[in-house]
Amino acid sequence: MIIHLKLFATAVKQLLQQPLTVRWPEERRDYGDRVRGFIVNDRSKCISCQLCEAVCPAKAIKFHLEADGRRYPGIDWGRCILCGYCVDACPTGSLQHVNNTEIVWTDLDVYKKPSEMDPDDAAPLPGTKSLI
Amino acid sequence: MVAILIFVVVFLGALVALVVVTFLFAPRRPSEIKERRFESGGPPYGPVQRRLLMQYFGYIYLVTVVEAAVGLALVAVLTAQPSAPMLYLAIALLLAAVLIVVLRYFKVLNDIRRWS
Amino acid sequence: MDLPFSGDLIAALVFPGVLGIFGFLVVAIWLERKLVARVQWRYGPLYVSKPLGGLLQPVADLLKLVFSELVLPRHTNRLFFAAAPILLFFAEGLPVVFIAAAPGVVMAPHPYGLAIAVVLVLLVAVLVVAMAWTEADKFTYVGAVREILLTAAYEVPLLLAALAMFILYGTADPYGVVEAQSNLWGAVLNPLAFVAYLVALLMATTRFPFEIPEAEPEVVLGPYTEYGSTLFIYAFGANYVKLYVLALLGSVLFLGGWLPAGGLAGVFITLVKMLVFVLPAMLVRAIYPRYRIDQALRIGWGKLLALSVAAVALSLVWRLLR
Ligand code: SF4
Ligand code: SF4
Repeated sequence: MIIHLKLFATAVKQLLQQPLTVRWPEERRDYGDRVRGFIVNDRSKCISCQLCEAVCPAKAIKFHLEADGRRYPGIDWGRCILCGYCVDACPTGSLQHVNNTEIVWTDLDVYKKPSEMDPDDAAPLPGTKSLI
Repeated sequence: MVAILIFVVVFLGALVALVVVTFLFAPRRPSEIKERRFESGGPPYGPVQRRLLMQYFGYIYLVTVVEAAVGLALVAVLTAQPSAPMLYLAIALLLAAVLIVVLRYFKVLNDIRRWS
Repeated sequence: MDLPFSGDLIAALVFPGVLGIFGFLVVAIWLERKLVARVQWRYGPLYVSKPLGGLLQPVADLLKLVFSELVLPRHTNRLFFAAAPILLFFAEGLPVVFIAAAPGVVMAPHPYGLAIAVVLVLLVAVLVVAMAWTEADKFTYVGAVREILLTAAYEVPLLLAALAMFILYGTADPYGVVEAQSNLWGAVLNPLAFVAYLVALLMATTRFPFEIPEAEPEVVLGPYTEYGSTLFIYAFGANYVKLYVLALLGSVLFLGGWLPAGGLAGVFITLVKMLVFVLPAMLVRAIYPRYRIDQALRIGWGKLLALSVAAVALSLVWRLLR
C-alpha cells in the first residue's frame, strides 16, 4: 500500500519537472565543438598518402581520381561508423570532423566523392540547448 | 424514453457513418498478404482455436456462479426495505459461499506451475 | 431546472452522451500521452497544434485512421468482423443511459439505474471475447482467454464494491445516491470500497499493471490484433469508453456526483470529479510494469476480493449503526 503511494508520489514529482529532451528541429542539443560528425577533406593539404584508407576499420574510404590528376579519399557513408580513425591517422590534418551529426541522405547512393567533401560542403550545426 | 432513442440512434449512427466513410473514401490497394491471417509476418500455420484447458472451464463456472450470487444479493438489497436482519444474514451467507469457493481454487491459482 | 432545453436531450447528445464519449476519447488519449511523457521527462505530442500543447494530435491520428484502408481478412466472417467492434464500442457506452451527470441530466431515471449500469459494464466482456473469436487469429485467441481470466478476477470485486455503496445508501437511484452523500462523500464513509473500486477499474479497463490481454510484447495487440482503420478506433477506443463510464459511475457513487451544485454547474463539477478516477488511470502507464497473468489473478481473487468483502461488511456495520 505504502509502496504504491510512494510510486505515485515519485511520478507526480517528475511530472512537475522540466523535460530533458529537446524539441528537434526547433531546438538542437549542444554537444560542444568536438563532436565526431561529418568528415571534410581540405584537398590543398592532402598528400594522397592513403593512410586513411588503410586505417579505416569499416572499409568506407575509397580513393577517387580528381580533375587535377591526383587521388583523394571519398567516404561511403553507408559504411562509415564515424569512428574518427581516419582523422587521427591523417598526417597533415587535412581530414577533419565537422560539428554536424545530422548526416542523412535521401537515396541509397551514399558514396561522397572528394569534391563533395570540401570544408564548406557541411556547415557546422551549433546546438541551441546545452546538455546540462 | 425519447432521449434514449436519440442517444442510441445518434451514437450508433455516428459509429456506422464513420465506417461507411472509410469504406467509401479510404484509398484501397488490396493484396493477398493483407487479407491473410496475421501471424507476425510468417505464413499462417496450424489451427487457431485449441481446446480450452480444464482449469479455464472451472474458472468460467466459478465466474458464472459467483456473479449470479452477487447479482442476486444486489437485487435483494435493492428490493428489500431497510433493517431486515434476514437479508443481512443472507448476504453474509452468500459472501461466505463465495469465499469458500475462492479458497478452494486459490491454491491452484496461486501457483502457476499447477496451471495446465 | 435552469437548463436551456430539456435535460435528457443534453444528457443524450452532450455530456454523458455522444459528444462526451467522443470528446473523452480525444482528451484521454492526449492526456495519457502527455502525462506519461512529462513523467518520463519528455515533451509529448507537440507537432499538431503546438499552442494547444498538442491537443489536436489525437484528432489528427483518428482522422488518419478513418481514411486508411479498410481490410477485411478473407478467413473471417466479414459481416461479423466489421460489426463486432461497432457493437463493442456501442455497448461500452450504453451504461451511460442510466447515470445522471446532474439533476435532470439523465437519459433514463430509474430507481435501480446505477445497479443496471454496473451490470451492463460487466456484460461487455463477452463482446470482447466474441470479437476476438471472430477475428480468428492466434494472438486474439490468447488475448481472449486472458480477457476471460481477467474478467473473472475483477468483476466480483467491482460488483461487491458497488454493492457496498448501494447497501450504505439503501438505494441505487442516482438521485438517491447523491442525496445520501450530501454530508459526507461515499469515499470517506467507505474508503475500502473506494480503493477496491479504483483497482477494479484499472483491471476492467486493462490499464497498466493489468494490461495483460493486449500486452504488446507478448500478443501484439491481443483481441484487437486484426483490426485497422476505423474499426481499430472502435476496438481500441472501447477501453477508453469503459474508463469514461466507470469514472462517471465512480464520481456519482463515491464522490457525491454534482454536489454541491445543480444544473449546468453540476455537470462541470461531475466532470472535474471524474478526473479523480481518470488521472490515476492515465498515470499508471508511467508507473507500473506489467503483472504476469497469474499475479493479476492472485491480486484479483485474493487481496482485492478480501478488500471488497470487507467493504461490504463495513457498509453493513454502518447500516446497522444507523
Ligand atoms: S591520410 Fe590525410 S593526407 Fe593521407 S590521403 Fe588521407 S586525407 Fe590525404
Ligand atoms: S570515421 Fe572511421 S569508418 Fe568513417 S571513414 Fe574514417 S576511419 Fe572509416
